[in-house]
Amino acid sequence: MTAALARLESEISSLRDELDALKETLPLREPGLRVPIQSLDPEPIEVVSPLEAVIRPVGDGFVATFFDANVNASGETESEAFENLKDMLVATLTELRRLGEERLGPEPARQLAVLKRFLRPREEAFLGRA
Amino acid sequence: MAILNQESALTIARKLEAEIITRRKAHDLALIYHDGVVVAKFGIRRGRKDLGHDHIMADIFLSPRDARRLASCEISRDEWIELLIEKGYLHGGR
Repeated sequence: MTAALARLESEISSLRDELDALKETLPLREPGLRVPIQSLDPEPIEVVSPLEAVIRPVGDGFVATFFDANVNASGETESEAFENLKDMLVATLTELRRLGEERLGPEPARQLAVLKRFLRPREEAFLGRA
Repeated sequence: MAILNQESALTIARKLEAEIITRRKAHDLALIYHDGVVVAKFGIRRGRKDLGHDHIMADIFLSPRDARRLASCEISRDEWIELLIEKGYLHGGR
């Protein structure tokens, strides 16, 4: 009886792993909705060059991503995920700039460099700085 | 159902010893340090515990399965750092 239970547990665990592996391929099969971001109003950040958000269903919600900088956000609806992505773009740019490049590892440093090509705080735009 | 919810996000943040930056916006920000530098970050949605946080998988470079294993403590912080090095998001010495 105990051996049979152990075998069943092992089979369930194996099936769960296979199911997880299948789930990992699902986002790749979804083409995703592409939405341009042309403004982050009312945030004091100017969009220098339009960004493209890709919104995909994941689980029973949605994940919006700006792939170039790997910035991501979730939402119960596509529009909520999109709005949340805009908040994460602001948060990422603001916090990584605040930390400074010397306190960033390779991936956050890359993210900041990419974001700086697309976004600029308004005071810098006003003062004409890059 | 979401793979990760707010509760899982907070568990992952604690497990990875993240610094939480509190904001008066839709998200707080979890910054994960290794050897004195930030190596990854993710947003934690403010609100209900069951809010979906499936975006974290891409933010911390994990598959859904490994993200769930991290949230349930089957993967340690050191093992996650090793995964980052293996995937090329972090140099071996750092």
